[in-house]
Amino acid sequence: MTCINKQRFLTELSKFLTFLSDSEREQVLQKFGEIFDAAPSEDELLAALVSPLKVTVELSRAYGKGGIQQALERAVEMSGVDLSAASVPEPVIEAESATEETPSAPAAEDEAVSEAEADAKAPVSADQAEQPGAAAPSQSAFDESVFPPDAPPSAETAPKEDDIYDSIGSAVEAAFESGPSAEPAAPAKAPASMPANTEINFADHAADSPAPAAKAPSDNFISVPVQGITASDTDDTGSEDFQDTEPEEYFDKPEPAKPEKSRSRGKLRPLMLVLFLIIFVPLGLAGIAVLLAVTAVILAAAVSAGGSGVFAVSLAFSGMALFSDIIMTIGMALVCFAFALVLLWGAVWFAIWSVGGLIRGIVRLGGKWCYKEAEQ
Amino acid sequence: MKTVWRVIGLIGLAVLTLGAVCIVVGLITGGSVTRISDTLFANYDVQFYIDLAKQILSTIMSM
Repeated sequence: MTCINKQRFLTELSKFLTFLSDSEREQVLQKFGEIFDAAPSEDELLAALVSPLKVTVELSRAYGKGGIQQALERAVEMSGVDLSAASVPEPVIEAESATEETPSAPAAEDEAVSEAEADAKAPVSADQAEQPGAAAPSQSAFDESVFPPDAPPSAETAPKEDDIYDSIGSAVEAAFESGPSAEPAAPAKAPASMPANTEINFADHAADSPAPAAKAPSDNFISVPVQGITASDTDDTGSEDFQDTEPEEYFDKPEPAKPEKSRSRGKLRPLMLVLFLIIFVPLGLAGIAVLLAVTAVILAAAVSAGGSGVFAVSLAFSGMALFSDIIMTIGMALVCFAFALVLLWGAVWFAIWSVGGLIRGIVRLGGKWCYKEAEQ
Repeated sequence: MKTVWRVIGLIGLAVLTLGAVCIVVGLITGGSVTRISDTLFANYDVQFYIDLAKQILSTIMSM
């Protein structure tokens, strides 16, 4: 049982979406923003999504199948939210309104901190946590952190974030490859490989912006049972190591090994074997000879048709004087060639199908006759 | 096998259609089957092969 909210979820999700380009990641995060806005209950939505890591894997599979559109459709499908039915007002947060709301941010932060302290042992319900005054500034801070403004990021922070994305992406891929037996320490490797002064914290990134309310993400905290996420993850800054242990059923379990068929057919019956050899081997050989004769007839017809075609072509260019007769003779030659082609392939197909089937049938029958099936 | 049958069928049908078109065009432009057969019998000893085939067939039928 741990506390997670929209901002925390989207922050963690944005860390994991390393396989997407920046624009695609932005699209996915916007889509999830819409889904959260359209969802009737945020805690139910978070419970349905289970965890950011699971969403990441699902999106990665959908992205591999059909690109970003498939990933977006999968996101909506996973959430179970009908975006078309819900009229979602676009959250328009202007810079001016953000700065106007800035004075209320410290109050919201204090309120969130006190709330977190008071409810350190007990989870906070969604109704209690929804504070209209606190939600807006933190949302704007998050939007600025996840969807940065047009101004280019500073030269120092941009490469660090790329490194972070790469390291987390490799850790996630390693966790996928290791499957259900992977230790939960795999996601923790990514933060450990980062520089000591580097933190995966979009809220901190947003703190550089004029709005000081970026460090108040504790608004709208709800209690969502997420398996594997410890209660220590409830840090306000979101810079803690995200330990997400996925449920085992999420990973593709290796198929249970099928029991190998016993090669021992059972006890050999020598009398039946001798009888089978006496009866079915000559019969089989006779049958094969008949089938081969039929094949030869078809083959002869094909060769005749082909030879007639060649003969007609030679006649057309040797003894004909009129163009109309020449073209008629060539037409007849083409008809002969068409029949020759079909008959030729028909002969080959008939030989493979009939002779092969007869041999397989004889062998199968011999197995039934000559071996006594042993109960195992 | 099905794919091969489909390819062979398509090729055979195309060649057959082309041959039929050639025959029709030859007939339209004044071609004559009688004239072609006369040319055939004049250039090749077809009658010998026809008689040979008839003789083999009668032998088989009499057995």
